[in-house]
Amino acid sequence: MDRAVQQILRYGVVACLLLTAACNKDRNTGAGPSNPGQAPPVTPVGERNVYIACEGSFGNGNASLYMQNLATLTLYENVYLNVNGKSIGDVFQSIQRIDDRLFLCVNNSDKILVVDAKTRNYEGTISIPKPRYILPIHSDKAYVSSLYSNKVYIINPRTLQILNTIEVPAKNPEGMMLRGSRVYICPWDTACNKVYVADIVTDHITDSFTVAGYAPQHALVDKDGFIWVLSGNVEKKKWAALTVLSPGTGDIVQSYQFKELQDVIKPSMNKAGDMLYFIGVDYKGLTGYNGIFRMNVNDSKLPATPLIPAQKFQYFWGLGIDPLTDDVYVGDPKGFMQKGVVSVYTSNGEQKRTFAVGIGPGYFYFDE
Amino acid sequence: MKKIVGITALLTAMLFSFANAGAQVADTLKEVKVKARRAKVKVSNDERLNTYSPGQTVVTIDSTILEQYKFQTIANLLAQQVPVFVKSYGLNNVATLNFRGASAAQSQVYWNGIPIQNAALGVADVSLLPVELMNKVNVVYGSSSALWGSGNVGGALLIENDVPAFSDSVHFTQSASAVAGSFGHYRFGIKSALSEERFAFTVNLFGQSARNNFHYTDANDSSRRMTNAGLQSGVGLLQAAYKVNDRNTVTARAWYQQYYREIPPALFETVSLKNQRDETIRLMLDWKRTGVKTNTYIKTAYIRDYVWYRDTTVLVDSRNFTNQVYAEAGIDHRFNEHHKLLVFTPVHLSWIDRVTQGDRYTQNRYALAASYLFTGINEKLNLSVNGRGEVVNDLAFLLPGLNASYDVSNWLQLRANVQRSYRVPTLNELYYSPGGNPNLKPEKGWNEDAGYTVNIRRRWILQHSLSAYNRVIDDWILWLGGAIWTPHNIASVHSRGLETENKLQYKLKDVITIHLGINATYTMATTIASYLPGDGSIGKQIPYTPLYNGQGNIGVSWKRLYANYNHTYTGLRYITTDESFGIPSYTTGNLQLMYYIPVGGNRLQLTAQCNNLWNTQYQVVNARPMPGINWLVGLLFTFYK
Repeated sequence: MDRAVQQILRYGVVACLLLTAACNKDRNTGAGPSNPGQAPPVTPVGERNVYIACEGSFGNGNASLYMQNLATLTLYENVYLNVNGKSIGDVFQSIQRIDDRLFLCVNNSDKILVVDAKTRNYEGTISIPKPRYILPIHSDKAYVSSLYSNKVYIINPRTLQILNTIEVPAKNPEGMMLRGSRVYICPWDTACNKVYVADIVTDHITDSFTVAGYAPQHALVDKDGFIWVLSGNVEKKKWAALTVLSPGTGDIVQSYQFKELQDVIKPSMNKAGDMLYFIGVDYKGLTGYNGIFRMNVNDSKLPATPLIPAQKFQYFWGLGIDPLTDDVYVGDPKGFMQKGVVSVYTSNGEQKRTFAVGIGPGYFYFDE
Repeated sequence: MKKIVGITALLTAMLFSFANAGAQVADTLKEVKVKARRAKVKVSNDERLNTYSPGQTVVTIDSTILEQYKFQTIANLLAQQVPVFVKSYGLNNVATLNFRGASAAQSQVYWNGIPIQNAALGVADVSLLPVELMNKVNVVYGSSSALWGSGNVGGALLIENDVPAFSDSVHFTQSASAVAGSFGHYRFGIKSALSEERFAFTVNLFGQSARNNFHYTDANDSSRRMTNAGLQSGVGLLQAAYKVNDRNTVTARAWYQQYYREIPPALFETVSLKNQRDETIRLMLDWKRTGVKTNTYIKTAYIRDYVWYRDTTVLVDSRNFTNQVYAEAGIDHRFNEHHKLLVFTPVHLSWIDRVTQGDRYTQNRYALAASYLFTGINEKLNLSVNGRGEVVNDLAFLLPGLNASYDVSNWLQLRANVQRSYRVPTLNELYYSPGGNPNLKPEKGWNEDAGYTVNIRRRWILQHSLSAYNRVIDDWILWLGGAIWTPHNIASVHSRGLETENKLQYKLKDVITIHLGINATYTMATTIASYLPGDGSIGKQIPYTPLYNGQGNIGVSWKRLYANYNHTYTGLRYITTDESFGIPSYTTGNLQLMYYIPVGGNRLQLTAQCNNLWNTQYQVVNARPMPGINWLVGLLFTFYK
């Protein structure tokens, strides 16, 4: 072979090796999280955990489950991935325990993942379009709300089968609350200003109560049995409102109107049922109504200043109240473009601790 | 005497350039150019690139490469042949450009000098740009805002049609093509060209369909066949030119295309009912007057993009029309062999009509730009001083720039470039519903780069170039959010890196030409400051910017046969700003074959591509799987009269 050709090949090989060497310096951490962490041990009897649903960045399938042991404060990252070797999916919305299982609603993956509550081992999947929240009725029945439809799905938590559906007269069933034999269903529909009531025996809508705003999101009960309904969809100009309903008649006892553009999400009641917490979200820095707010159920006015203020370019996405201690857990998603942070405060807003979690911490579940 | 030599050289170069398309026809690939750095010959029809960017790093795609990729998209071409990261959401799906760590909105695309990115998004989908329609493709690295306008922060892709080739006698060419590929891909096209002394006309039409139902491995490690991934499209480009006299030419172009694309499910989705229809019409009218010392031109264009996105699962039905009117008048004057001046006035009016919301938003840009070129020291030094004053709605700003090249010897050239970078927020960033932020400020900063080129021509040809760049952009716009995504001026981003291109070519016994090429980039683009409380992105690589990216080519041409093996490497891409989540690096192997058969006085061209030869399972964008090994075989018959 011509000497020049040999030189070409030789230099080519050298160049390829140099390129390969350069490539090897790349930080190839594989698909998924760069630092996945370790699987948690089986939870000893009597120890409590808080589970954090990190919903991930919409459209990226990087949701994760974090867990903190409330006795040792040991944090376990990517619990589902580390135990089961698979990703959760896209938009991890909520968690619910029913008997010995945890049910994980993965909204944009159209599924509910079921894991053992102690080992977190995978036990099954229930395919439901855009699941949001699960309401346990009893061991053989639970309701599942679903975005973009007008259906509440009825599942059997033991067999993991879909039993039936409840047709709600409005779209986007969201928050649900069980009171006696009645379930209050909030359809997050901008054309709807009603909360619907389903009977848990017949699984039919039996009643409806008008609230003071459109697009009901969640319903909670206070210490006196009054039902608090948060409504609103600010992006669609349905301003936020709180309505207090009489438990028997469903009459409006009191209502609170938030100012225009004040966006309010994820209300939560404390252990005694006398303090209502919620998140004021200001995505664009337009209203300044941004942070964790708290009001006494007997207050006649909405709180004007936050208990825990958010800073500029910051807003909170997750809120949980520890049912044992009343500690306030706040999820900061940091724009959903990086790992979020959970900060824990006393009920008076004094910070106790903070720790990094997955992307988009949006829901807390305290497992007893 | 010098003047005569200069004019002769210029005319020779122009003739070479004009005749190039015709010459390719009868060419039997005696010479294989894998890729050539900008040489003295004109690589573009635009003087901004040919003359007034001597210090800018430019990659010109050779005509042989364009032939190889004739039946593919610009996205595929760039992904395999140019060290730029093409962010592709899947086979035949949206693909955008990432130059030197810049975002898609910071990378611009021009068709015959007209910006063609979607006026609302500020982004061009390069998967909708067919290679077949273009005669010249250049990639300009780094900011060149003074010449090309604000928004050109990371780099620019320039696609062009050849200037009209008039002929002394009536000349007619007709060609027909048929292409078949994996996953139910079929494509048929015709092209006609008619030219005579004063008139030239070409029409290029093709239609294609594909099922794209390739196998992939899902999140549960099961093999599945892709669903809802079909494509249908129809594309047409008409060009007509009239030579008024020896100095004046008028050219009209009309480019219409319609793409219907189903959007397949991501790995985390069980099903997808998404689809998108993209319909675009681009009309352009261009007058040029060529003088002895002064050339003048006026170009006008109207562009209308219609995007109809539907997802019945989540009840989304979004229809948007964006419109752009572009006009530019310019004068290019050569005072003598040392001094040249270009002055031009771009006017760019854009508006979006949102059918769903029933509203309209506008963005109007007016600019006055000038570029002065000094040539001296025995033509070794070329120094260009550029400046542009631009007004966008009620915002006015200046964009200065300076770039130069110096020929140290006949084989070594040095070059350097300094430019101000500036990008005004797009209509989408300002007014998208929900989430648009009308309070956004422009992104701004400075770009510097320098490098050298070695070009040695013996029996073998060695071309080597290395560029280093540095850029800091303040008020970088980042979309943040969960349920509602909102853009904010969050950060300052520092981008720096290296790019190298290398080509070795050897002729063996004047029959066989062997070529070897390696291109590589090193891109470090990190957040250096942020307004976000407790931001974990400081010092971390920005999303979808691979640290390393490169391609290698090795091939041979023998008589009428051309064969090339291409290998690409794309490094790890983080999808979060704090490097907490990444997609693994991948390599692909691709094979290209081309063969010409003379049929009487006509020609039959056979092409074959095998993409992803090693059947690599990979994703460019998170959770959007790419196809394994796939084929594309094409026949092109050209009839001459």
